[in-house]
Amino acid sequence: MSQIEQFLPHEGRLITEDEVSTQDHDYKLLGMHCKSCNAKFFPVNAMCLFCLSESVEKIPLSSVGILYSYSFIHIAPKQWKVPYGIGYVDLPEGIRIFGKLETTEPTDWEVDQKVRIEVKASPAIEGQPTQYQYFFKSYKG
Amino acid sequence: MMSHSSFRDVSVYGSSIIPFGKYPQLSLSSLARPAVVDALKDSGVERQAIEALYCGSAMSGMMSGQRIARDCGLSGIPIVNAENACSSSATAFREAWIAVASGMIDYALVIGVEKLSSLGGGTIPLDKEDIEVSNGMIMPGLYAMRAQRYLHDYGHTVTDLAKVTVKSRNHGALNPGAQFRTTTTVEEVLASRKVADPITLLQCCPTGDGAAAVVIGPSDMAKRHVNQPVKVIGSHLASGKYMSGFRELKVPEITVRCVTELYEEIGLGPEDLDVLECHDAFSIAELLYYEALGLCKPGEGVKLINDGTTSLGGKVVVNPSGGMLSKGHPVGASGVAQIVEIVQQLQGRSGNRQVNNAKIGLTHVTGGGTAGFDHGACCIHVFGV
Repeated sequence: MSQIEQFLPHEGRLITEDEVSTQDHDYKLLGMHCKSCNAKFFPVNAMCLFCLSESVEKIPLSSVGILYSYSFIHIAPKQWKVPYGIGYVDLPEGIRIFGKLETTEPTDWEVDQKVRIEVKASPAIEGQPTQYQYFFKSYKG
Repeated sequence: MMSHSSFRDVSVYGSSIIPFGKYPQLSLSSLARPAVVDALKDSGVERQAIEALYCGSAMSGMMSGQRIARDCGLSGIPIVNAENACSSSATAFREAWIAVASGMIDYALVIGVEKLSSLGGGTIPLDKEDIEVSNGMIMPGLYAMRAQRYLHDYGHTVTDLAKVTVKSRNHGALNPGAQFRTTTTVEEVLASRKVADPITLLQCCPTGDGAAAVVIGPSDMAKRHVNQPVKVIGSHLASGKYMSGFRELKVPEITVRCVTELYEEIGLGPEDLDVLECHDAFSIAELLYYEALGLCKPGEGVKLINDGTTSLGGKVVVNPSGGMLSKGHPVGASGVAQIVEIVQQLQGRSGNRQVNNAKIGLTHVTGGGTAGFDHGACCIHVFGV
């Protein structure tokens, strides 16, 4: 599979470089912290969704969280290749993130297990900004 | 809290529903017309006396109410088209109730209508811009994750989920207007096609088309028109509350909030209910909503299925129509469809599936898969005779 094919829409939402921290080549999702009301939320937004303050800052989110719940989907709209796994991951920041699971088979996934959020970059295409996707990887170590 | 002290009492005069099913050959207005004509006849209110029309539909495009009015001799009156996902026509009913209760108008027609067959089947299309939908979220997936957590935390099993469908189909088998009119077994439910683990196909409401209509008016004028008006005891609408944190998926917050406020407003509680129609779009949903509506404690929904409390003949019958799992769930039509079922139950007109001596009934509909919310909308009504 070429790298381009890895970014077909059936894999998930494409996110921009404004939504990813690339510091030290350790890709992390960015969330928001409101300096006025202290709320933390995801995804990136220009103002606080709770108090409407514009005094907000981006924060790199933890890469490891807890799988709150998950499911494997067998029937879905045409754009998706089934089966695929979905889940909610709870991060230490108090933020819950929805995403796809790494595997397409429901083997070995458990509620409350540790998962790692993997962020991958699209291959560089000249003249186009880099795009990213994320998914959840089982991390039982 | 909203004050209703200046409101007058409102009653449902007439009601009607078409058998739910797949009618790809019919237009939206042809689908709705039999229910409209029949509800008008049932209400004893002249067509010319209807002062406003409220039409709930989620996916019918613009002007669904006008299209139906044109073909039912009702054009020219004020028409409000309501879209609130699964709660669309319950929301339409509530708006009509407010208009009549406030004294602005006397007689209103409310329609719930949806033609899902024109979408080609499968899961309900959701907003593609949504951050969860664009990553593969579908409605069965959301309920499946609720189920996964529910089973994990309470130690229940997939068999417990399947029993909800079995109970639903027992009721649906007695409803000539249900899409599924045969009984089923736990084995059959669990062996049906996988949709979103642990939810199988027979634990999902079937897609289809449907329409239902009611005529409402002031309670003090009802007896001039009908023998058995059914009073609207309470109406409440809630919208989703955004949160970014760890939402408890086993507790449908929007339903809890909506019903708690409603019980408080009307001075009634779950112990007063004889019959209700709740949003059983999936097997797990019925269990979660038993708990959210206060019929039992958290985690004890399974018990109500096992001991027959919520089956016909039980203490508080839930979804005697077969609910969405058997009757079908033409999204925007379901709110009024539930109201028709409860109204006719309270009038003693429900044939083989009649709940004995039903005096107070509730309808509950919620939905709209949107990131950050439990659900987008929830609308609950209580009726009484």
